[in-house]
Amino acid sequence: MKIKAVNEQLLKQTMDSLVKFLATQGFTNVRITDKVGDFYARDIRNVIAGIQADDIRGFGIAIQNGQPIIIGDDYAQGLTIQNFTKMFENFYTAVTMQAALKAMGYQVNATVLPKMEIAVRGIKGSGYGV
Amino acid sequence: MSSGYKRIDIKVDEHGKVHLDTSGFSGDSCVKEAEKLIALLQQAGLDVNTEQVKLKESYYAKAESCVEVKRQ
Repeated sequence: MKIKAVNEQLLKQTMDSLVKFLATQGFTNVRITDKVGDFYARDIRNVIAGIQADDIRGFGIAIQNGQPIIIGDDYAQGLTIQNFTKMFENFYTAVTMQAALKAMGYQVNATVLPKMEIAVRGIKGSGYGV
Repeated sequence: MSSGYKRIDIKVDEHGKVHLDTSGFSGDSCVKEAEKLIALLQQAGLDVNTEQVKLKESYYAKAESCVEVKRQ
């Protein structure tokens, strides 16, 4: 599953989920930002949404040629750009799944599993939720 | 299961592949529901390619748990 275009509302929900998740992984002062430092933090770039923490100088999502790209310099950071990318893609996919299931009338919940796997369950129908 | 509720279980695995499993559906309604879900995901900007579809035994009978789909 590839992200071809980013929906701003889903991106915001994804970033909120990532902030909460990273806080459970030992990162402190995790926050959303609109600027991250690339190239040893010498090049500060605007992003549509990014994440910083005490141990993360910043990773963010920018649009290049209509496609979302992840930017940030991971030198000596608590998280590599590969790990952040994987985390972002899985969270964004799961958030999009939840939104789609909700639009189809399902009650949804999601759980983050080990190895960055995410389980999403949607249930609907008579007798459920009573 | 004739409880009248339908369930879709999705797992986004460590490689970003999506596994989808349905239960509580009858006949091909699970396939249609999966197609509806895929259409919404595509509208939302996800590129969805179906890799494997496994129809469960109950798909051919009065299905309750009828499809398992793997997507990349």
